[in-house]
Amino acid sequence: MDIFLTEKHRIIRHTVKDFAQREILPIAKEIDEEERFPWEVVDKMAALGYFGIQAPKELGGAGMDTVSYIIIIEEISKASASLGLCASVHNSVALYPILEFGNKSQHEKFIPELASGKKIGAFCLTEPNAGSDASAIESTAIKNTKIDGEYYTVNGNKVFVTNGGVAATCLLFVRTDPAVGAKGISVIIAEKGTAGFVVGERENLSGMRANPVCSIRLSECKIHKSNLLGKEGQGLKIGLAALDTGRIGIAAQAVGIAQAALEEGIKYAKERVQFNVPIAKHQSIQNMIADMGTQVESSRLMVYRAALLKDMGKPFSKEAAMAKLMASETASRVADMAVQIHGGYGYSKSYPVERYYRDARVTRIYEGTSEVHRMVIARSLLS
Amino acid sequence: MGLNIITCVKSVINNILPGSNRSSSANMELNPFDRPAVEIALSLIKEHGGNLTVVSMGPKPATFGLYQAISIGADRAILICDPSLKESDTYITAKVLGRALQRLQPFDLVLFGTRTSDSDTGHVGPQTAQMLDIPFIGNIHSLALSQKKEKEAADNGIKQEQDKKIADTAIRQERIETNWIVERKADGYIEKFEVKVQNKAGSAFSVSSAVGGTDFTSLYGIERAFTDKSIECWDNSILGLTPEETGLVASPTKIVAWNKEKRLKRCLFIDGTPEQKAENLAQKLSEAGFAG
Repeated sequence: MDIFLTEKHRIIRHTVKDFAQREILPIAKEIDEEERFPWEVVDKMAALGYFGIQAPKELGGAGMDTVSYIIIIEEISKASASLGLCASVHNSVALYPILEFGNKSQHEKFIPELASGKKIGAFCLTEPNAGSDASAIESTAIKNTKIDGEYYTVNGNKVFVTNGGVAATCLLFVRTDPAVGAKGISVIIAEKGTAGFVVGERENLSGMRANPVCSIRLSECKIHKSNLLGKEGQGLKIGLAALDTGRIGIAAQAVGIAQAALEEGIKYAKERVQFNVPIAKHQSIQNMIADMGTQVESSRLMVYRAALLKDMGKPFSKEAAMAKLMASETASRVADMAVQIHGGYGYSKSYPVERYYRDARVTRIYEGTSEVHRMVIARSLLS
Repeated sequence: MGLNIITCVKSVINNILPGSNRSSSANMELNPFDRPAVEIALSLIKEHGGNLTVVSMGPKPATFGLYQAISIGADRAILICDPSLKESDTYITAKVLGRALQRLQPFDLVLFGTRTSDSDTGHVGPQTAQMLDIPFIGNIHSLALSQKKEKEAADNGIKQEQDKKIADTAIRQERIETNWIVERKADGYIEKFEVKVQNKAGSAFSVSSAVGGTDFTSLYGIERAFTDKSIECWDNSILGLTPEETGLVASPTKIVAWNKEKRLKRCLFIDGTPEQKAENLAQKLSEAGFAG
């Protein structure tokens, strides 16, 4: 399947797989059940460069390409989707936009601490009344020019913030000019510890339970204007660029979950005996395995294509959307079939497919729902 | 300056799929038994300074294991690769490695893994040491440079920078004086060796698989391996070997049959309280050589 990968990419896969199997897999069940963010493993990931995968070397990153990035996210997610999510969001929708739209002093201030994993990043777009319709956000950041014009006063509520409970550097989508609709949306880099930056309760989610997904409340929070990313009014542009890249990561994450479900399905089908033969001998099970394998491979190829296009500097937005749609729906279907192969045991927490089933479901929702992705793809095909 | 260490490694085949090419970078990896030898070399260099060269003999895809080794921190990598080396037995492999290592003299140490995960002979380390006429200890668990000699090694390094001729003499003096303190575990005992190397070109050890294994390769290391380093390829002409001297044709030992071993499965029930069961199980596993 990976015939077009380079030797370097294969070494990356080999290396990350080794790390994930030895360090992440043994605790994956426990951190899901205990809703625990495993700092002891996250710190190791940080030291190995997993939080600055594509950041330039001169700013403390590993300086790798997008194909390397998706291989890493897939392998981490295969062991623990919660940690794959943490790395994906940090790298592609927190660090990347600062790199792409930030100025030199913002690069120097924020990138090294993010790339080294000393600080974890988050992307705060969703609000109680703004999800797929990002232009409906209500949070505001108002510069009071009558006083000194140096600070924005930020007020608002952000929900479902991935990494929210541990993030120290958050990209906040806010209205800097409430009068002009979508063009008044901007991105401000908020730092944990600023007065008025309040981390709310952890969401009690169905899956991704080791990731501290929280709400974040901004209450009269004063943030210096030097933390404005890009220009005022560029918020949606930055958001869409971040999500284009983020989609590839989430798609890779979905491939990782699907691959894990496929492997567990095969393993169990060979072990479980019914009607005096392993159930893998039954054609109905074989059909499921065949469909699972085919769909996983198709998804992975689409994810590689989107990543390769990005590395080649070519347009990849449609391909990333297609990859995310395909991979996330595949992850849900494949995890569902893996549960079915396991029968009653698959519905029990004794087997990991139950976790894959819960984790897979949200890949069709976050960083753009399947429906929004169909909109993006259709718009591109019909233009 | 510092230590000049060579670690011989192999890229092993980790997964042969039906109908696939036997060796390609898709199914090769650094022999897991060689990694401890690379790690112990790097820890010595971290302590005393110097550099590590990794040497491998194999087909082109064997660069995989060498890139893995330089990703961990090796400074230089050499692949001995020539079509005529194909199907060499362990004797010829050791002969070729020995020839390559002579070109890399002077060095302080040659390290090997104890065996390989794909052929499991354990011959190459000791045979290569024999080819070089240097002492060898197998399956070592720890390796240290005696503190008294460390300073001399450093002084020699300074001389080496100043004057190569003096340095050559100095390095020979260093070899006369160098003491390696080596420990190996065997039969429930820890053997401690002092290895003095007199008028010889270094010492050779194979490193137990129980050593190291706690480090992980970083993404920074992989990126550095592929951007700042390259793998040197040495063929027969560089080593002064002819096709008649290498490969299957020259190999004194030949595998004449290769059949899958039939393993007998046995089911054993262990009775008693949970504590007794655990105790009995541990004992049975120990007796069978799987634990302990």
